[in-house]
Parts: sequence; structure tokens; C-alpha cells
Amino acid sequence: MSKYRIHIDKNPPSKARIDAYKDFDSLHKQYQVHSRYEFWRNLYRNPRYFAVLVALISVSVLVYQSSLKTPSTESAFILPPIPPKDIPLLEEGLRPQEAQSFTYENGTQIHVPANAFIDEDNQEVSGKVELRYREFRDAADIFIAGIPMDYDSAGKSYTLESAGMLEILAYSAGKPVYLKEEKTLEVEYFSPYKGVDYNVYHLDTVERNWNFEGEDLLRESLEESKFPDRPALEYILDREADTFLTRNVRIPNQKPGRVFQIALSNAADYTLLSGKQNLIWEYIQMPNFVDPWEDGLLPNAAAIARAKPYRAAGVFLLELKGGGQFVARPLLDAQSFEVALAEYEEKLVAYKKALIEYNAQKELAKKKLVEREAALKAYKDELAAWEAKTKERDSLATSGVYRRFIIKKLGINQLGRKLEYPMMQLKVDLSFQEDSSFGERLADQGRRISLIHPEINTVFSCKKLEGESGKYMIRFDPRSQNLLCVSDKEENLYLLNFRQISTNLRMKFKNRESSFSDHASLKKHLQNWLDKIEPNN
Amino acid sequence: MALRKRSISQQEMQEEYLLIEEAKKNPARFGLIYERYYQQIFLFVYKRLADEENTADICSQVFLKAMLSLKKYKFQGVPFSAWLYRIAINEINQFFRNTKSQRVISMEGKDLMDMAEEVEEDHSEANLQSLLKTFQRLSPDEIQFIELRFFEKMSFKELAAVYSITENNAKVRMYRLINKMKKLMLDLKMKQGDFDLSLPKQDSQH
Repeated sequence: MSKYRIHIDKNPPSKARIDAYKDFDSLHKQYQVHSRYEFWRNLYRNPRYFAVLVALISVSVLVYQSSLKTPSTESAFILPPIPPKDIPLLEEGLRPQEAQSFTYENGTQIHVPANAFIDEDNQEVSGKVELRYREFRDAADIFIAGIPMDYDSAGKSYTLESAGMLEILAYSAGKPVYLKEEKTLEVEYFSPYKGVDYNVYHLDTVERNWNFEGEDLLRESLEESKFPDRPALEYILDREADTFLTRNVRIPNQKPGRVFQIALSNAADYTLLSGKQNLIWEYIQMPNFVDPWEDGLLPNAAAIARAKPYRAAGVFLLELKGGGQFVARPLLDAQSFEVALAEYEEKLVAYKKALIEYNAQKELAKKKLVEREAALKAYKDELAAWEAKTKERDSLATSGVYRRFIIKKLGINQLGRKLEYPMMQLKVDLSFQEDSSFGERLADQGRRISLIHPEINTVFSCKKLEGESGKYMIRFDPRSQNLLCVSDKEENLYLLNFRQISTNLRMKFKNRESSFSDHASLKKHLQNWLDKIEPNN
Repeated sequence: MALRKRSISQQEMQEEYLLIEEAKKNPARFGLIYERYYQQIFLFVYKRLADEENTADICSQVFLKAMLSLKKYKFQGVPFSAWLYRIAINEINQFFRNTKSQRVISMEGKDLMDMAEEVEEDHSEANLQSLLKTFQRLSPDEIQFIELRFFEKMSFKELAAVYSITENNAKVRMYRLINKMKKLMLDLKMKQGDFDLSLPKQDSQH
């Protein structure tokens, strides 16, 4: 016996028949009976529910207690994760009456004009001035110094991507001094970033935002920066379209079978047919059988056929008395031959129309496929040309460019550009090992959760979601190896390298790290993680 | 191969989502979902049982279970019907386990031809017969997967939702299944007498 019964083209019950089984009222009553006892039944069946209940009550109490905690005070704006391991400032003494230039380790030059400083009383500084300087060259530096990279411009939020950042402070007799309004410092900053769309921003720690200060001066000379972007190929990612392009083409329904009448010699043999005069039939075209119209066997008013069942239920093989056999289905519900014929002709017209449309669509699909293949080939050529050009450029290029810009205010300044990177945004739960209250505790401590991904020179801050315990909103590039970084107030560092994301997201830090001798060892540690050689992961 | 895709617009899905949210609060509102999907689920079950009474019983169970666990339902970006199909499949499997009756595979002729195209066969009678014989060698789970994809026209996203797997897994599973069918068809052809060696008359569409 075969494993399955196979039904082909068998008519399902009519809508009216199906509707007769519908009874929502009875279903609703059953639901009420079941749902009334469901809880108690489960409790009775499984005493562990009691344990769950107790746990729920305990959690509720804990949540209530945590809600009674006083809200944390406003967190610091510049917030190094481990303050003692912050990037140190280099110090230079200068005579303020003379113009002077300084060159730092990374090649950065700062030109200070004469008589540039005033004290807090607006008096020109005449005594010795001490210049303090440090640079933040990469995302690890930005994170270590705790510099926020969020930028609010006309109410719209961005993250600034940096081509170089520095902090300059000046002191005289132990007190801070300031730049005169008409004086500026000129900086030549050696940067590996060659883009032409960076501007100068100053970090306003009072307004807690970056201020646009102007453009850098070497913009036009950076010919190399105009190098074209890598050609994009969006459609190659569309795997559905790649594989199933032609599936959108609809094949029309089967050609309707011709309607005819024929006398039967053995109608009495079948319950279905017996006693029916002038049966109306629908021809079913099948391979290996004659087409009685093409072969001139029908129409023939005198034709007599013998019927025998053929495979599917309700389908017969008709053998003409003069020879020739074909398959047909009796139309038992047909009102009259004329009506059946009219319906057949209507279906035939619709079928022919659908067939024309189908062929047109199929042609279109073929055309699209050819276009796609041509586009793919063009893309490959373009990519090969771009790669060759890139190779050539890389072999010629130096490791960076000097960017020249003006500093109008002391403090932290950077060459930045607004980033609207198309990132995935997800709510995540933060936990440390099995401690699920970790995220909430960090929020209470006013800590900043940062996200670095190696290809972009910035640090993304993750927002705490108000009213959602321990939940943060993170933005990240799912194609990148992202590094989630945070520290607690005990100056422990927590790092998590991730790439694969599921929509039900739990970010679980595994290790607490705190043994860093200085800022350099901390930076090396971060760099190792960014280079994917993180320990214990 | 052409799949006639059953589609539901984003707006309809949004409306459906709101309706389900309402029904979670007020089960009487489930009536609208019941009205919307009863016929679809009935036909789905009927195609596998070919028995109206049993189909009606299973349908009642499907909607009752859906109502009872509606609060656990999470919107996954696919129509609610995917969830109902999942329940229906479980109920159908349970039915066959209990009754040991023979499973039915219902399809339209053109679905069979679609499948033949998918396994890269033409529509000759011999090939269609081989394809039908191939079905007999597949497990009920495999048959179910084929039915949902080719006869119910489910997208991979919907299949993923029904089977609680990823969309990619659904694609891989289908790919392997088609390969298996190709191999089985080849086996059948290798056995002489099991298929018609003469050239079949081409079934023209015109």
C-alpha cells in the first residue's frame, strides 16, 4: 500500500459547506470554560508554578526597592572610564610675547602667535605660559579620554567621525589663561584620514555639545581625497531576487477543456452517469490520447462512446465506437449545453488573454535577467578597475596627510564630520556573567556605554532607555566586529566583542578587567580586542 | 518556476496586529480573526485529511488553542496565519498519530507542474508520474515542507515562522529536499520499466 493518497485537482468543499461548520459562539464558550480553569489546573498539575510565583513576588519586591533608590546625579560630560589611566598631557613652557612653534611626537605642529593670551580678568598675560597638549588619534584614545562624540545640530542628532582631535590648555602661575578673541593658533596635524568633508569643531563643556568652528585649510590640496568610493552593488545582496527572479511570473491556469455532448453505450454501468440523457462533458487534454477535434472524430452527432474510469475520481476515458480514445469529465451540474458552451468560451478568452500576459511577463523576466547579468558584468569590470586603481594609489600614497586648521578656543578641538551611518538600532539587555542587574547599576552610577567599531574613527554612545530596567539602545554595524566597552565606578573595565546579533538581544560581559599599569597598557589591551585577539572570548 | 504568492499588504498586517492586540485584551474580538482565517485553515486541513467532519474537529481545536495561547503570540513580521498553520500542523500530526490513517496529499495539476519545473523536469506524463512516485518515498515532515512551499505558496519568511527556524535555514532545507527529490527521480529512471521510455507527446498550452 502506498504511503500517501494523492488527490489531484479534486474540488474542495464549497464556501457554503465550510461556513456551515463555523461556530464562533461555541468556540468562545469552550474558551471561557478552558481559560477559567487553566491557571488552577496548571498550578495543580505542576507545583513548580508555586516556586515561580514566589520568584515573581521576590522580583517584584526587588524592582520596587530599586525604584525607591534616589536618581543618580547628572553624570560628568567628559568621563574617562578609568580616570588614573587617562591620556596624559604634554607640557611646554613658552614666552607669551614671542611667536613660537612646537612639534609633537606624531608630527603635529602648533604655531602660537605673540601676545595671544589673556587671564580671567581680560588682562594680557606677560608671565611664563605653560602649554598643555594631548592628542586623541583613534577610537581607543577617544574612549580612554571619555570624550563624547554625539553632536546635536539644529535638533538633529549625529555622531562625529574624527580625522584628528587634540586638547590644548594654557596656564600661567597655575591659573588657566585664554586666547584673545582676535588671536588664533594654527595647527598642522598629521592625519591618516584623507577625506575632504571634515570641519573643525570645538567641544563646549558648558553647553555639552560640539560647536562648528570652520573648515580646514588644506581641503583643496588634498587631490588624493577625491579618490572615488568603492563601487556599490546592492542587488548582489538580494539573494531572493538572484535565485528566484522568474518566480514572479504567473503561469495562467490550465487551458479550459472543450465542452461537448456524446451518447454513451454503457452509461448504466456507472451510478454517476446512469439515467442521465445528453450528458455534457468537458474534454481534458492528456498526452498519448487523441484530440478528437484535431483528428476529425468530433463533432459527430452519431458518435457513440464507451466510458471507463480514468485515474482521478469523476474523470473518464471515452472510447469512440469508430476508434480513438480521450479523457473527459462529465459536467453533472451544468444547466444546459448552451450555457456550458458559453462558459467554456468565456474561460477560453480569459485563458488566451492570461497566456498573452504570461508570455509578455516571461519575456520581461528574461530581459531583466539579461540586464542583471550585464549589470553584474559591468560592476565586476568597474570593481576590477577600482581595485587596480586602489592598489596603485596604495603603493604610491604616504601614510597620511597634513591637515592645517585654526583653533579659536582652547580646550578640545577636532576635525570631524557628521556621521549618519546606516546602522542597525536595537534594544539590548546588559548583564555581567549571571548578574542581570548590571545594566541598571551602571545607569545608576552614571556610566557611559560606548561602542567602537574598528573601521570608523569614533566612539558611539549607547543611550539608556528610560523606564526600561537595564535596557540600552545601541547602534552598530552588523557587518563589523563591534566592541562594546564600559567601566564601573570601581574602575573595572568590561569589554564585549560581537558581530552576530539576534533580535532577542542579551549582551553578556564575561570578564572584569582592572590591572593596567598605565594608559599605554590600557590602550594596547583595547587595541588587542579591536584586532580580534581578545583574551577569554 | 512560478509560485502564485499569497500576499498580505503591510497595512493589512498592521491592522491584523492591532486586531490581535485587541483580542488579547478582549477574546470576543478574536471572532474577526476567526472569520478571516477559518476557511483558509479549513481548506489547509481538509487537503491533508480529505474528510470534512474530522477537518471541522481539527479546525475547532486549532482556533481554541490559538485563543488560549494568544497572549504568548509575538508578532514576527509575518501574517498571523503562519502561527495558525503551525498549530494546525501539530494538530494534523497528532490526528495521524492517533488514528493511523493514511495521509492525503492534495494538489492542483499546475502545482505538480511547478514542482516538476523545480526539479528541472519537463511536464511529460512519465515525469509527472515519477514525481508522484517520489512523493511516496518522502517522510511526512518532508511532504509537509513541500506542501507548504509549493502548494500553499508560503514564502521562506512564513515557512521560517511556521517551523521556528531562520529564513536561511528554510532555504537550505528546501534546497536539500529538492536535491533529494532529484536523486530519487534519477533512481526511478534507472529502474527499467518503471517509466515510459517512449517519447511522450508534448502537452501544448495552445
